[in-house]
Order: sequence, then structure tokens, then C-alpha cells
Amino acid sequence: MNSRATLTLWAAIMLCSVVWLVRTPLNFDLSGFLPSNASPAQRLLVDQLRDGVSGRLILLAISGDRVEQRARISQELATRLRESGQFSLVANGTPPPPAQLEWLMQRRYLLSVGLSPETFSEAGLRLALEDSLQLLGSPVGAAIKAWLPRDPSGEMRTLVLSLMGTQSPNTQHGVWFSRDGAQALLLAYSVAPGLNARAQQQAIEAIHRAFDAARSQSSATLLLSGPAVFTAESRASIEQAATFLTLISTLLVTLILAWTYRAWRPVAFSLIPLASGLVIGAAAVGAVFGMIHGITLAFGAMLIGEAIDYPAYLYTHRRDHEALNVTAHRIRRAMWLAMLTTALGALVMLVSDFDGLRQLGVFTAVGALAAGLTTRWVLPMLNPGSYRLPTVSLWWPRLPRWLPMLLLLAAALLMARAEVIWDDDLHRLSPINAQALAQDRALRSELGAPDVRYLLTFSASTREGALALSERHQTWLDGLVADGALEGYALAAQLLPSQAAQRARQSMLPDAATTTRNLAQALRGLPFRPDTFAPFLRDVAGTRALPLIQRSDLDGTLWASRVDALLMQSNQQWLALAPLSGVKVPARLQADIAQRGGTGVTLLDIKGDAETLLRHTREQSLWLVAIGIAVIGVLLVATLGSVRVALTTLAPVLASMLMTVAALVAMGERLNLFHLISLLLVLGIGLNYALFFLRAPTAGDLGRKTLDDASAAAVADRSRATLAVTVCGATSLAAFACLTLSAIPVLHAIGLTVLLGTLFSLMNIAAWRGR
Amino acid sequence: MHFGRRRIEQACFCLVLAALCPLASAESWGLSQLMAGFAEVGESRARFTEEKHLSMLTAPLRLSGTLRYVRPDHLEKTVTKPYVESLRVTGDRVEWQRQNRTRTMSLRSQPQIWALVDSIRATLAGDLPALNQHYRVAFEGDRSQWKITLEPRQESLSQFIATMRLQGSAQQLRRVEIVEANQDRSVMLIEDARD
Repeated sequence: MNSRATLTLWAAIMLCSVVWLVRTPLNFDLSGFLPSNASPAQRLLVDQLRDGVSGRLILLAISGDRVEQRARISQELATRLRESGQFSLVANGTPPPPAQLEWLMQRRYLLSVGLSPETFSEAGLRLALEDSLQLLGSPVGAAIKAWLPRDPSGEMRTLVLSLMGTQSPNTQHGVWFSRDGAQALLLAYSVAPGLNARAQQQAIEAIHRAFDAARSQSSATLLLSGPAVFTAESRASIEQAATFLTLISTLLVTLILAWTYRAWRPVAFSLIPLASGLVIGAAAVGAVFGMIHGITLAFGAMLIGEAIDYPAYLYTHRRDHEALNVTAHRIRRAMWLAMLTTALGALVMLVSDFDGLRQLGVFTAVGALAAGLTTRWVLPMLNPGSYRLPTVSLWWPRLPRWLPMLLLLAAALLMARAEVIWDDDLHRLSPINAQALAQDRALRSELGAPDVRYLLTFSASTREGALALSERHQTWLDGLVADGALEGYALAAQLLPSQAAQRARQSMLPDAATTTRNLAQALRGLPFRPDTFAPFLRDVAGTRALPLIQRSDLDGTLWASRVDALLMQSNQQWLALAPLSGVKVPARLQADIAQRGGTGVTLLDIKGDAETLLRHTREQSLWLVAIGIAVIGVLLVATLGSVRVALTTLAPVLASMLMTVAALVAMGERLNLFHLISLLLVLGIGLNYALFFLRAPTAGDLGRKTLDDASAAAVADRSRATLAVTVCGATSLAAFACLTLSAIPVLHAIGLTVLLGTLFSLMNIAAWRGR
Repeated sequence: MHFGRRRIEQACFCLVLAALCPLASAESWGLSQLMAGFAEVGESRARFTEEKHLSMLTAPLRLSGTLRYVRPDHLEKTVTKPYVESLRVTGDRVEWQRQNRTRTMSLRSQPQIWALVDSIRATLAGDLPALNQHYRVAFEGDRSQWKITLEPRQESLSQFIATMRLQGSAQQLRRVEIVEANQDRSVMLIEDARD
């Protein structure tokens, strides 16, 4: 192929890729790193992780200024947030307004779970009245006095308790406060899905705006926490870190290249394969998946950083006055192997359960091939001008061979004795620092906020079906709460019972004459004034004629958004959710559910189940890495033509990987999926060193006439190979040392692993290099 | 110099006054002395009988049981007749137990319980500033027979409680009367547990 045709083809592919990329949507939610293949229960889990109730929780704490000011700001902030329509629930300890309570009061018999015909019989009423008498004498007597004449059986009390929860936080000036009184506390559920980082960011900005307006002149400050906040923050911090680290490492890499070539053209041209790899790789992801996760782009750009090595191999291997296409042809085999090993190693990720990792696989494989082909065919067409290369062979210490052997032995021993190597804690993958997590736990315990961990789901084909299914488990749940096995739960049916349940409850209400007679009998001998319960008789009669509660009746009440958050349609199924708080013995819940034999009822342990999925994925990835290595081994045997040669090429690399893992374990790091993926990069980089350095051309390859000439040329080539590996090693070390400094666990894990891997790879080939 | 001498004279006058003060206070026993006396009691137990007069009832409710106070902030009220029920308060946490069910709540979130508990507890603790913070405090009587009248300062309390009267002699609280805003009223008579 002539040069003009090659350049035209390259330009055409680049143009198409750019055009395709512009049309590809960039997805910023974090779902890319959630497993996507799954059983129905797992799918439910992923849906819930993605946009479930638990992810929408925002905890707010107001501190500073005087206590009265904090209370006032809490009130005003809550009002503003409720009016904004961006939150399904805003709670700060203020009781619902009287009108909202009256709405419930009028419908209490339709909403009451414990209602039975007995409630209105003479015996039932007698029991209720005797109990009321006791309550009047108790500490809460004064509080219930107002409701008693309408509600002697206490249906309203039970209803309010089940809606508000029995564990109330500390209250001062009518709003929630921390136990030390320093912080006024609120909690809010955003309407936007939990993992939609951009939408959560908007909700958080709305809170800050409302707070600034509510605060006016006060010096009070606002602290936000909770999953929704973390989602928004992790997006922001990953974006920031990625941008910043990319800039810094690009700068460092450029400096190293500038020092090597001392001419601007080779430095500038070195970026062409990397840029081609990025653009074409990203376009390929867009073509295959229809969209790109923001995180794939960020991590992919780092993984593909290996592509900056390819032009370095080309430029440093160029002999004096040699045409670049001759150099490219001379090193073609090592170059092909470098590309193919990286691509194959990355393609293994395609089998992963993580959408984001599959994208990363395509991105890296296509990107590495594109960068390699650009180096092979496009760079030789561009004249880099003349440049002089420094000699670095003297920098390399002569390492004795026993040193890596000894290290390898130590590593093997350490690994054999290591007890805890893997860590599947989800939090460790989130970019949230430990301090923020501790703060979150503290706020959560003050608020008695649901621990976001356990969720019961009831699914059916219709809305009424899902509601009815959840109702069949409501008495059981109430029993658990009474036993203390559960602190509380929330259910849409608490405010919107199925039509059937409402009708059944309505039919339990006796006619006016019967109620009056039963009440009169029940009152006999009790010290209540005779006309006290007239309002009760009126309410029973009124409820008999009341239309059943429909979803639309909730509009304009506090309860509408609460019901909508707990009752939804997904995948042609209706889903009623019951977030559980304060679960004492999860195994008992699980056993109860199995025993009750409800189809369509699933208990999700959001954290535990997600970690199980993560562990499966990690175990699977470990196998994939092993398969990747085997595939690479076969490729090496096939191309190098000898098992022994293939083994001596692969051995130092595998040794480096083992040493890296051992070093990480010795440093107290617990390994996760991202360490594992980084090891793939170590494999790719290390193999390149071995291919270009250990397999540097021998005298026979050179076709020189005399042995002296040949050996002189061999020495020169060897020195060029040394320079190539030195430059590539230096750029990798610089780039990944930057990542190591990041406070974001995922970036730190990748940086440290690759940094160590590069160091060990360099050390191993230095010790292995031919004598 | 003239100015300096006046300063010294003033200072001397103050010193003399200060020296005389303890003598003066021994003469008139009052609220601060009563409170100081309570502040020395570490734990106290008593029996009580209580009558509640409610507008919706034709006859008062009668309860009896025991009271226990442990410095600094623990108060227990156990009803033994005509049924068993207990209220334990430590700091801001309220534990209310009846019919084998326990409910815990924040004292501040229950203004009615707070009024009842805090007035008695602050008195037994000898914590005058706490009483003054939430109530207008009036004192009458002497060591052998005293009476403290409390009226809530905050609307959050006064909407439920009109007045509380605590009576006693020396370091013994004998009678607590609570008049609610709707004129319902309860009277608690307290006698030493050893009687």
C-alpha cells in the first residue's frame, strides 16, 4: 500500500470515528459497574441499586448559630423543599399539618390493618374503653385526650405510629436535633433515581439554594450525607481526579519524551497513535453498545496509556539514517505481538458481567490495535526530522539472577500464608472517603434512618395485585415490629390499601343502631360521661358512606409522593416495596418468608446481595485472567516457534505479577476487581518489555557480512532496545505514580498495582537480560 | 490620687459586705437554699398516690405506685395499682412500659411527659437554672412548709400545661399538682418509702 493511500485510509477512519463519537451519548450514571446478567431477584436488586428508594436518601444536618435559629431554618428549609416537588418525602420532626392528619382521621377505618368486626362489638368496645381509661391515666394521657371521643379503639394512634415509626429522634423546638443539640436534622428522599448522578446533583443544588434562602442572615451551615449525595460526589470527584491526573501524567510523559528525543516532532507525533487509539476505541464502544459510560472513558484512557509506548519503540529502535518504514518492518513481529497480547488480554473482559468492564475490554482491545497499526503504518509516513538518542545502558544496574528468584520465593511463601487477600466491600469501590462514611453512620444513627440494607418486594401483574400481596404480609410485619425483630417498615398499602381490602373493612362497620347499642352496653360501669363518644358514632356512620380511597385522592397530600416511591411499575410488573429498618435477625426474616410461601415476595439484602454478585464477578475475572494468560502463551508459542522461548518470554512477566500481588498484600491492601484488571495492564506492559528487550535482534537477524560488524551492530541495537524499555518504563512509572497519589480508592488501586508491576517488570528483565 | 483612694474604699466596703453575706442568708431560708439542699441528695425513693380529674370522666382516676430518683438525671415512676405500668427517664430518653410492651421516645418530643418529668426531676436535682429556663418560678413559705409554683414560659408547653405546684417540707417533696390548659387536673401525694 502506498503512503498516500495509507494516510487517506487512516484519515477516513479517524473522521468516521469522530463523527460516530459525536453521535454517541455519554452516560454518567454509575450503572456501568453494576452486573447486568442476572436472575429475576438479582435484576430486582440491580434495579433497586440503580434507582431504588434506598439510593434516594439524603441526610441533612444544620449546625452553627443559636438553637432557635437552627430550628427555624429547619422548618423553613423543610417547607421550601416540600414545595419544590423534587422530593418525595421531607421529614424534620414536625407533625403533619392538622389538615393532613384530619384526612387520615376521616379514613382511618379504611386504612386500619387490625380492623375486624370484633372492633365494633360490645366486647371489643368494652376492651378498647378499658384500655383508653388506662391510657388517660398514663403519661401520654394528655396527648390522646383530644382524639379519644372520636376514636376509642385507637385506630388513628396505631396508624400514625406505623406511619411515623416508633423510634423518634431527639426533638427540640418541635424539630429533630442530634442528641447533643448541636445539629438540627432532616431527611429527604429525592424524586430522581438514586444512581442518576446528574439528577442527584440537581437535587443537591436545590437543597443548597433552599438552605441559602431559609438561612438569610444566619451563620448556620449545612452538611449533606447519604447515598444520593455520595452518587453525585463520586461522579464529581472521579471526573475531577481523572481530568487532573490525565493532565499531570500527560505533562510528565511529554517531559520524558522531550528529554529523550530533544526534538519537537517525535514528541508530537508520539501522541498520534494514542489519540487514534482513544478516538477509534471509543467509537467502537459506541458502535457496539450504543453509548459510553463516563467511567469507561476515564479508565480506558488510562489503560490505553500503554499506546504511548508504541511510537517510543519505533523511534528508539531506528538506526542512524534508517528510513522509519524499514525500522517498522524490522520490529514488526515484536510490535504485532505487543498489540495482540494487549488486545487479547483486554478482550477477556468481554465475558465480564459488568457492562462497564465489557466496554472497557472493547475500548482497550480496539484502541491498542488502532494505536499499534497507526504506529506500524502511519507514523513511518510522517517525517520526524533528525533526532539524537541518549545512551542509557549504563544506568541499568547489573542485577544478579538470584535476586528475582529470592523475591519470587518470598512472594510465593507470602501468598501461601496470606489469609485475607480479597475484599468485596462495596464501600471500598466507592470514591467516598472513610471520614464521610463515618459521618454518614453517625447521622443515620441519630435519625434512626432506615439502614438502606433490607428491602421486601412484592410483585404482581397489576397494581391492585401488588398491593393485595403486600397486605397479606402486613400483619406478619406488624408482629415483627411488636417483637422487636424489626424497628419499622413502610408500605404503600398503609396509605393506599387495595380496593378489596378497603371494601372488606367498610363492610365490617355496623349500622348506626347497632353501634349505638353496643357502645351503650360497653360503657356500663365505666366512669365516662354518657355523651363523650358521640363523635365516634358519627364517624362510623360517615365511613360507611365514604368513597374508597383512589390514588388520585392522595394528590395534594403529604402522602402522594410517599406512595409513588413505594409502588411502581417496572418491566410490565407492578412492584410494592417495603424498606425495612432495624432488622435484627435477617435469617429469621428469610426463613419466615420461605415458610409463608409467598410467590412474588423477595427479600433483598441490598449490600449483602450486591457484594455476593461482586464476589462472583471477581472470581470469574480471576479465571478470565488465567485464560487470558493461557491464550497469550499459545499465541507466543505459535509466533516465536518454540515453547522454551515462549516460556522465557512469559516467565519474567508472570513473576512480576506474582511479586506485585504479594507486595500489595504485604502493604496491607485487600485486593478487589480493580487490582485484578490492573494486573492485566501489568501483563501487557511487562510482555512488551520482554518482547522488545529480551528478544532484541541477534546477530543472525542483521544480515551483516562480518561477525565484527554484526556484533558491533548487535551491541548498538541492544543499546537501542535498552533505551526503548527505559523510556517506556519511565513514562509508565510517572503516569501511574500520579494515580497512586489519588485518594479515590479505585484510582489508587489501579495506580499502585501498575506502578509496582512496572517496577518489578523492569527489575526482572534487568536480571534476566542476556549475558 | 483622690480617685485611687475612693476605689480602695469601695473595695473595702465590698469585702465587708461579702463577709456578712452568709450570715444574712442564714436568716432568710429560700428557694436557693432549698435547691442547694436537694442538690446534696444522691438517690431518693418514695410512694405516691395520684388522682386525675378529667372533664370527660364522672369520677377521678386513682393510681398509686413508687417514685425513684437517681442523680443526676434518672427518674422512675412505677404504677402498681390498679394496673402495672412504668415510666423510666434517663437524660432525654423515655422508656414507657405497659402490657409487656416497651416504647422508647425522646423526652423533648413529648411535651406533656416532659413537663411532668422535667419539673420534678429538676427540683429533685436542685437545678434552679433548668427550672428558670422553662418556667416562671414563684416561691413561698419556709423550710418546714414550702411551695413552688411553675408556669411554662414557652408556648409549646403552655398550650398543654397551665400551672404546676410543688409542695413539701425541708428536703421532702410532698405534693405535686398539675393543672392542664383545659382545666383537667392531677394531684400526686408523695410519702417517704420508709413510712
